[in-house]
Amino acid sequence: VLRWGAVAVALIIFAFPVIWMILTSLKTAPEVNSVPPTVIPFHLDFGNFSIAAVQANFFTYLRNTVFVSVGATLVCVVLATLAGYGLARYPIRGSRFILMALVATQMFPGILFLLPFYVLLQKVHLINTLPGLAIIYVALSLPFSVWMLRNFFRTVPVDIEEAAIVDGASRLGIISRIILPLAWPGVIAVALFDLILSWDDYVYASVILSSDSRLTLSLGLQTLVSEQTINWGVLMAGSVITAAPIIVAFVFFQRHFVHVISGAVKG
Amino acid sequence: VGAVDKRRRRSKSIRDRRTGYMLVLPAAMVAMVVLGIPIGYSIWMSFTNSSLASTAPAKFVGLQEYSSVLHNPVFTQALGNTAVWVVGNVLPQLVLGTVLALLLNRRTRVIAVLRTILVVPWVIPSVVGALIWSNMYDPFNGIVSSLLMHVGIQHHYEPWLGLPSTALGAVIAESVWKGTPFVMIIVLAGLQTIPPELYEAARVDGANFRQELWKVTLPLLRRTLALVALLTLVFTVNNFNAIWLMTQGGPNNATNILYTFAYQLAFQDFDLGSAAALAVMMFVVLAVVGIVYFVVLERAETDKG
Repeated sequence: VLRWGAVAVALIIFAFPVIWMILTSLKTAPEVNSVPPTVIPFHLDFGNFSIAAVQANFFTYLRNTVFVSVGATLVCVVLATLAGYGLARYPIRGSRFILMALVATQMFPGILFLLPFYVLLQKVHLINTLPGLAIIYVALSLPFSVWMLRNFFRTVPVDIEEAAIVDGASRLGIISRIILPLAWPGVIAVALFDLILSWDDYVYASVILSSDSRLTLSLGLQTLVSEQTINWGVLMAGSVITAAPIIVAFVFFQRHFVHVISGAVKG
Repeated sequence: VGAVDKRRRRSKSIRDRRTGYMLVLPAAMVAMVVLGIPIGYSIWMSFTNSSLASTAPAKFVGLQEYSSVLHNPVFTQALGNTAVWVVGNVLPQLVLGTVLALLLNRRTRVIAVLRTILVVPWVIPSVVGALIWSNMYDPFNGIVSSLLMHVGIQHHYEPWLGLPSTALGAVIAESVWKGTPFVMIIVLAGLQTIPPELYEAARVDGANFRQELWKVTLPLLRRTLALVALLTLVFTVNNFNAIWLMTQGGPNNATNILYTFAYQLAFQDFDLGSAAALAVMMFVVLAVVGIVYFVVLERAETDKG
């Protein structure tokens, strides 16, 4: 009983802000500003969503965000799978140093990357473009992805691969038929992690993107905050649009998450 | 026969090594260009008087920018705030996250759903999280004030984010809400690596829940807890979004931590040299903590045999 009581309290506290966001997004403007605040809307009103979608370009932002985040995640996962497998299975000189360097990059305050990134992207004419931003996201999620996948591969027994080699399977055959099926949970979990990371950003996007038609969801939402007189109903509708896809993705792909992280923890 | 065998083995190991390098190379190159160069550039910048406001080429000034940051009165305040920020975030997140993980360490369908709901705050984008909480702290009709008035703790609406005395605590509440689920996930992962036989053995020996917790679970979780403590520390020190999106370090620097201070130096004062110097100092401190962590952990591991 004590256990369930504690769980219930935690659930209310952690879920309340999310529920509050959804409820507020469905209130009319007068109700949002009423004193004292109401919790349940008098009548459901979807006007805020149509304002966010039509006047504030949130559909374009959504498309941009999907493009950048999914693109960056795919590239990052491919690079990290190769590197993680290499580090876990092959005798590489200085692999300890590589791992340490990866961890170290995570400790460097990221805002200082802003200026070099800007200069770097300008040099290759990718400033104010979505691919330019995607490159940044690949780099930012790469270290942790390599680290997690390397640890994950170390928990996958090597015997099966060796047996396949002895049986004379080709290298390509080994990769596609033995390694990939075993690696799948790890790859999905890391991809999910990268996706969450890219979806979350607004700082890097704010330095790299400038035209309204190219903004991402988080940046578009933040721009809305600074542009208008605060209209909480519309802002919460925009928040729902920004948060919903990544929550759905998480719920959908989370199955292996804990399992893979436990491999990384043991590492 | 032996020599041929050895030669073959050696050629195989050389080929293996080459394959290994080929696999690591693409990621290493991307990391070198997109992370290595900016880090190197920042370190170089910290020894110059680089500025966004002037077009004159940056001059090498040695440690001058470092000393100018250290003598900045805001630095002292930001350092104090960072200490409160770190302790106020890391301790509650570790305790709450571990307790939640222990409560939810079962494999049933209901528990799986509860876990998923609890993880949602961590998945929500920072901008959204900050907006929700800013709305809940609204000075005119915020739900936080309203609830506290119902209970009788408060008597009128408070501008939680606008008062120097409450702003830091208010932002910490948001970031604990957002960070705790991650601790829970990692600790759950750690719990799953504990073999169930140990609990069975403990039960056979007549251990009660509390003894199980202190004698079996927590000692075996030591490594996981150490890792998650380090991760939470790094995330907290580098958690720019929560503060910047809710208070921008204000009011009156009450929520200014080292990270937001570095951002202000760079993009509001246009003083890149000082900003870089501050970032390098933060990095060195975190790196030392990280190295100590690895050394201590490794020693504990070898002691165990």
